[in-house]
Amino acid sequence: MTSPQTATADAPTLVVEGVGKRFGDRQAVRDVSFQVARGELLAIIGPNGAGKTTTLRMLAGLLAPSAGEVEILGESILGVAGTHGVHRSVGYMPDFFGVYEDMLAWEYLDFFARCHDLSPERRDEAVTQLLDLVDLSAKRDAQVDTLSRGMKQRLCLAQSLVHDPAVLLLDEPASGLDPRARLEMRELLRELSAMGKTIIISSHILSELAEVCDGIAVMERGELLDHGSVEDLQRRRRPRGLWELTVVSDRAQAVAVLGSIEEVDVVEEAVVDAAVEQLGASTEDGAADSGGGLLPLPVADDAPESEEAHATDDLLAAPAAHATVVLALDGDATQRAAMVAALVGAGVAVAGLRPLESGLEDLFMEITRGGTDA
Amino acid sequence: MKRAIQRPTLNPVLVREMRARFRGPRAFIALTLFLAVMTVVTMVTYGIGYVSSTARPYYNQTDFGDTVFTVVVLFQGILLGLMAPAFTFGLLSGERDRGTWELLLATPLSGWRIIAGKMGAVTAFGLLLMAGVLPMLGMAFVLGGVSPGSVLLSQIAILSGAAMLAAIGLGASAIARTTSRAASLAYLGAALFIAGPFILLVVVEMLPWSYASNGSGLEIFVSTALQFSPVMMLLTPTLLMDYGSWDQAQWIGQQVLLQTVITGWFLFFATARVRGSVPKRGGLLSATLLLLGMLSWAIWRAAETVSPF
Repeated sequence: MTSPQTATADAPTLVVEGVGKRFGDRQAVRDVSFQVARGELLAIIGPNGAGKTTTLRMLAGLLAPSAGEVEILGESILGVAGTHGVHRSVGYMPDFFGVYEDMLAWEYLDFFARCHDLSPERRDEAVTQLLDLVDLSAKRDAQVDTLSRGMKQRLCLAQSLVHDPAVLLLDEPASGLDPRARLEMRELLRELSAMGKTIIISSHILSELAEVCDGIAVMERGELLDHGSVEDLQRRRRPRGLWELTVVSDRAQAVAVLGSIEEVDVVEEAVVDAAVEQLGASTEDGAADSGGGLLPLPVADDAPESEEAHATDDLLAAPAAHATVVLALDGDATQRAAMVAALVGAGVAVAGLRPLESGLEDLFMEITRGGTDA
Repeated sequence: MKRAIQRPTLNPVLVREMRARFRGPRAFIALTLFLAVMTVVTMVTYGIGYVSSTARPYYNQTDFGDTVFTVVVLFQGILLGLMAPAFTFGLLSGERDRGTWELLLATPLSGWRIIAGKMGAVTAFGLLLMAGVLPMLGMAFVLGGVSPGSVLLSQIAILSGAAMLAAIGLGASAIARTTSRAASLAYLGAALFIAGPFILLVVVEMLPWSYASNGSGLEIFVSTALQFSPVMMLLTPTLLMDYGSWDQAQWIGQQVLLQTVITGWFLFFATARVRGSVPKRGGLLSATLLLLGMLSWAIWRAAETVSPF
């Protein structure tokens, strides 16, 4: 993702400035602005009805924006909408896509190559190259209705590339795919990105996007709430970095010490008792399993005591239990060193301190407010 | 990949539609059924005519030819008229149903090329069906009493009427979101054009003052409305057979012209719906103005010349 400030220097492939779309009384998209450079992959994420598809359809020239400006390779798409010039620069794969079932795979691509006015020689070349790119060369002469969903999805992606567009707009390209097909789609996106294609994806599968995208744009209720690289968003959303502190001593004491330090806020107290975990793994019924870091519940007095319960009690009493505390911390290494020194000075045995990377899901939940406008 | 672009020689939509239409059994079945019905109609008509001619020694052979020609043309027109909307109502809505519509719109193809390609494929298939009937019409030549000009005019009239109904189907397909809705709309529109003027005529004839209103504005209006009915296009050849006058030939020309303008209007309408761009809206406006102009001319003609009714 290119920041607006550096856009002119980086000559972004796609510039979206203040774009909005109104359907009657409903404002579907409102004042969306971002820029994407060549070879970058931007993921637009947001709940259903957030305006992702409407935005992509406007970028694809299928919907005229009610407001704003879209430039691809320095040219406004609004000016050429009448002559459909935008379609020469943009490849589009809709969310609900279909294929002509009665055609052969090569005919399908050949048809779209004809639609883009490619010469017969270039059509043949493009069809062969694209079938190879999407790994469907073996299915060249297969009727489209005999292909699996994943293959059809790849074929549809190939048709969006048939005219060698600078910008690729993919609306939910991995929806409905099995894990293997998703993996293949991800690899394909990486390959296309490496080829210099500017790719914009709308998707719900956040965990997979984080691995392939260079930037994300979060939309909700037709508004672009935030955009940038995952790191940028993390930095902006959480300027006080999150850290995980592990202590091998009384957790309460550690929390008390941290509470006295002005630059530190305790976000979450979690306990991972290594000994209990080890025991939980060794027991057959898993009764003493720590279950994701939570302490086992105390055993009631009148409950029949098992051998495992006795062992758990013994281990809990042991001083070697590990406790982790998630904390938000201002400042740099000096402040962190001072915090550790304060803990050690108070008799807390510090076993570790590491930065926490929040995932795309965490960021998404933090940025969005959980509403739709559709 | 480097881009190498040149002007295409063939409309890609036409190529695809032709492939889709002629691949698979549908076209074969439609052609077979159509020709089977026409063959039965021709044979039955011929059989009845033969029996009549042998039973009556003074039976005029040319009347026999006339009858075969009239019945074959009438059934040819009715069947094509019924089939024409069915050929087109799914052309655009079917793309939406399949999910290929946006893929098509994401190409640089203009709305007009999309419509022309689809209509071209339908017309080609329609011409194939019409060509299949020619040998049956040829029987009328053998029996006598039919001129090549009459055959030509009858086929032009049928093509004009069928094209108009097909264009109505395409217009319905451009409006409706689903193919089933498009089918309902297409046949409703076709029924309006076919039966509407006749219903109007019956209503007018039932009016108490209708007998005293010869040459009135109402009669002129109904006479004009009748010219839009494709059924009239089917009856026209028989009228030609009866009269064969230059006036009747002119009347056919007028009808064909009117129906061509209506066909064009629906095609413009569908084109404007496809892309919704300003130039196409301008075209639609021009076509509407042309249609209104043609209507005025038709009304004037109906008032001035002798109506066949």
